[in-house]
Amino acid sequence: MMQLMLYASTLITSIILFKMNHPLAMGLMLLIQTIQISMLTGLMAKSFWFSYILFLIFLGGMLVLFIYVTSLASNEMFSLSMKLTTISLFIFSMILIINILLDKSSISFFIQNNEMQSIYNLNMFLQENSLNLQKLYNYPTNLMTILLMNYLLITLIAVVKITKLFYGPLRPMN
Amino acid sequence: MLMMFYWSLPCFLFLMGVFVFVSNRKHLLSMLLSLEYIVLNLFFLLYIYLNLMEYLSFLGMMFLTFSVCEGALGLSIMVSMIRTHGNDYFQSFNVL
Repeated sequence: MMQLMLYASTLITSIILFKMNHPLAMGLMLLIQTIQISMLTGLMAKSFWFSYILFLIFLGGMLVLFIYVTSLASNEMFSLSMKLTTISLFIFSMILIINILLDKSSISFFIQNNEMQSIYNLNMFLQENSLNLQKLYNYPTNLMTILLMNYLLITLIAVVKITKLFYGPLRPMN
Repeated sequence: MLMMFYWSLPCFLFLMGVFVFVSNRKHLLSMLLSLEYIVLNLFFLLYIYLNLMEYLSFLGMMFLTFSVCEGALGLSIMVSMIRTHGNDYFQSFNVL
């Protein structure tokens, strides 16, 4: 039931994102979607490590929005329409009602045994999918980690070289 | 019911991100944010796929690192364009 509610809310978030115009509102939707997807991936595996990393990375990407909005798009309004909210709540409740009508066992946890719990936690494919990262630093695949380090360093240098301009302010010019 | 959503949800979210990307937005940052949205949903799909493998989940880390690097490069291109041309309107790209 928890996962189904998360699925329905991700669908609603994607539909709301489709109607957004302002970058700040799109960033807010992206942040909500990141929280939902990290909760979903945490529920699929046995530990929340990956979802923690995902949330921190995308939250760091959101920090650029504030300087953007304060310097470039400071005079734009954004509004959430009432019709869109009504349609979203309607779709959300429709998905929940259809699920309850089709599958009555998904609303009650206490009648399930252990195998059914594992089905509803959606890690039924492998018994041992604890998503461990022990190949990250061992020999045949640590070369990919070294490649990642070099790529990050080259990206750092490239970003500094691209944004090294000594003319023009960071503000809109109409 | 849940298994019906299991693989089709990230594909649907990916398609929604692609629709947001190709719909004509005003700012360049909206395009970059929709690209981040596509990357997020592709990471979700990759995570579901790597649940089937046993020890390959470090590929998700690699995917996240590459996506972060490309996002940083896109933002640096946007900053450079703002400082040279004054705005980041997507409609004025054919003038550049």
